[in-house]
Amino acid sequence: MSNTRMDTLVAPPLAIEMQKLNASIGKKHILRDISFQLASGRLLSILGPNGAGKTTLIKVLIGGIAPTSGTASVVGFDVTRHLLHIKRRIGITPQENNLYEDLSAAENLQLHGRLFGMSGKQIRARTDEVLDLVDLRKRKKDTVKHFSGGMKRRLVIARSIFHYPDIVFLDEPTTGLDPDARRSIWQMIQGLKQQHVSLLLTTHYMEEAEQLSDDVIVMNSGMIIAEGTTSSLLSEHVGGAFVELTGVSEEHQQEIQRLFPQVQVFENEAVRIPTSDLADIPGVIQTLAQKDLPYASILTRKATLEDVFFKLTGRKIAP
Amino acid sequence: MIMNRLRVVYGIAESDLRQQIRSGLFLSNIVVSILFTLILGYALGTSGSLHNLPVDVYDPGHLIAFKNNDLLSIHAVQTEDEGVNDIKTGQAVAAAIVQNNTVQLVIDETNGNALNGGVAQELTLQIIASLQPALAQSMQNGGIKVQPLYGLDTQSSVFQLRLLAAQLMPIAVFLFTLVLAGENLIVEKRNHTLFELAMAPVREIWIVLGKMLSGAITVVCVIGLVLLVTRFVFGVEITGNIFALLLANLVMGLGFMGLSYLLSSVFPQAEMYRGFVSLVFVFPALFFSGIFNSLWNFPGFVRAIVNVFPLEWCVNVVKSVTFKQANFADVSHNLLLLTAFLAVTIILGPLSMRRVLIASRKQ
Repeated sequence: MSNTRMDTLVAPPLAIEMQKLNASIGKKHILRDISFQLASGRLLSILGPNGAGKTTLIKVLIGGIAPTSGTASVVGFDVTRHLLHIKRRIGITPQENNLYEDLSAAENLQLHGRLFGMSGKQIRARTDEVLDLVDLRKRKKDTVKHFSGGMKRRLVIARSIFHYPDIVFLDEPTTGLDPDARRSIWQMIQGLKQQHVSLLLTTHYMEEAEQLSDDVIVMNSGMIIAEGTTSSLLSEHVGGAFVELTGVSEEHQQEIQRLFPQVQVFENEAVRIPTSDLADIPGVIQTLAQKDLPYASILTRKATLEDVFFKLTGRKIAP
Repeated sequence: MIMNRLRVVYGIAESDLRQQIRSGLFLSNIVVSILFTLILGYALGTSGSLHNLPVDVYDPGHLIAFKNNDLLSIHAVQTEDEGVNDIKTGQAVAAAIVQNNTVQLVIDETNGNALNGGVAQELTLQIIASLQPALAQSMQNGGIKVQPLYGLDTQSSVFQLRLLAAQLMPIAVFLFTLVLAGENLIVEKRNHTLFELAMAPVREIWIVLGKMLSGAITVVCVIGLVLLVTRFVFGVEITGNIFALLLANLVMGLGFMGLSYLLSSVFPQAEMYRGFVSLVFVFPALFFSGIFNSLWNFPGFVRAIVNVFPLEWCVNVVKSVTFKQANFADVSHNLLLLTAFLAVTIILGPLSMRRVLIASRKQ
């Protein structure tokens, strides 16, 4: 089998490149016309609700599901032809903590090292290194079945980087974790970014995507509905901040719409006035006061990717 | 490159064995196999009825009227050796040899005291009933002599226990490989650990080889441990070629391991697999093995079915080697059958496991 790459040696390969890709599971069309790129050393988040096609997209990239049309390459290798080369270069943190519960943390890593052809000496050295990184070195010899959910998750991430991969796929790495454990995982991911590992993160937590991402893709029903940096997505679709009012009568809602044409009106006498920045909020409040428009409560906040998703689909991401 | 692949095989086998030992499955299954065999053996040994037992008769002068009945199925042979040989190959449970005004009843004591007592008693009654007064007078000095063919101490209080203990090995190997190896694969599917193996940068065959290596080492360990238990705990001595016995168990074990990979690939849950395998394979195989009950009790067409169960082939080898001084040539027929079974399952099983590995990347 040839191991020639799709790209030339002149330009460094993109970590991931997908072009007009479609994929189905059985008769169900899961991914539709997906095109995106992940540049080396960056973190791309794929944000979307359950069933958006995030995990399927990863399965295509690791050779689990064959595309029905279009192309996909990982580190320059075509996913349909050079799977073994791709496997050598990637690390995967799946949604499940797929650890051997009767083995210790070190033994799980040792097996992983063996699967990637590492020698005993390499494995011993790397084990301490990655366990330090995830703060589990003291629990090195404990069997995994005695670990908490957060510790298992950290160990799965440690395992995914054990063999020095170029790209790490993180499939909803913090789902089901408590806030402390989630923040600890985020710190680890930030650490990986600093080591210039390319990262593809799927999540349905907008805060996670906002905190960690260089770039964001928003998916819904198997399609990419928006992409860019967090700030570009916010400014393009919803602005930078909101003033949210409740208890606004229909008559006063119309008055507010005249003052702020971009206002969003909801049921239950609620309205949302987008602004381009937090700094614009005092001006909005002053205008409302000058016009003596009554309301029951007022809330000001920064816009989030959740707002982008809501704007684009009319529904919330979070389950 | 080959070094990397061998590391994969070694790594999988090593972690599989570690898990088996840590989870306590290895020892608990040895203990369960031993208790199961002994308890069931004793239970059935005391309540089983006997029918259609094949007995060879060498009576060139037609001095005695041996008759078929519900218990015995009489078959005349042309030489004394033919009768002895039929016992050795399992074609007869006893032989009556009538010559020089004596009757010698040669019995296969490895069938257990209950069976042999019944056979000896019925034959003795038939002999006495058919004797002419003159012949009875002439036999006064010789009489009817009952001779266990293999010289086992059938009067010992632990004779039945030793008979059962000698046959522990095929039962333990059978249960280990068919039940445990299959369940192991299903648990790996359920826990998504197969995904970790499937994402190793080697062809799936190396993963399969790692799994099979751990299975083979387990089989060897079970064989070794059961051999020690039968020899030093139950005092069973192997009279024939021990390598034939070990080979038969190894071949059967690997064969059932391949079968378990094949079967487990279609079951999503260990409980479903265990239920299916128990009903369709384990119970029939145990009762068709000849360990717990006489296979001669079954009607002819059932005996034909019994003959396709690999556990019975292995049990035949074990009995022959342990008690009947059998060597490779004596058990070659059963060894060949076991090898054919292995040849089929060792191809189909790994192919199924490979398919499961590839599918695990999709889930």
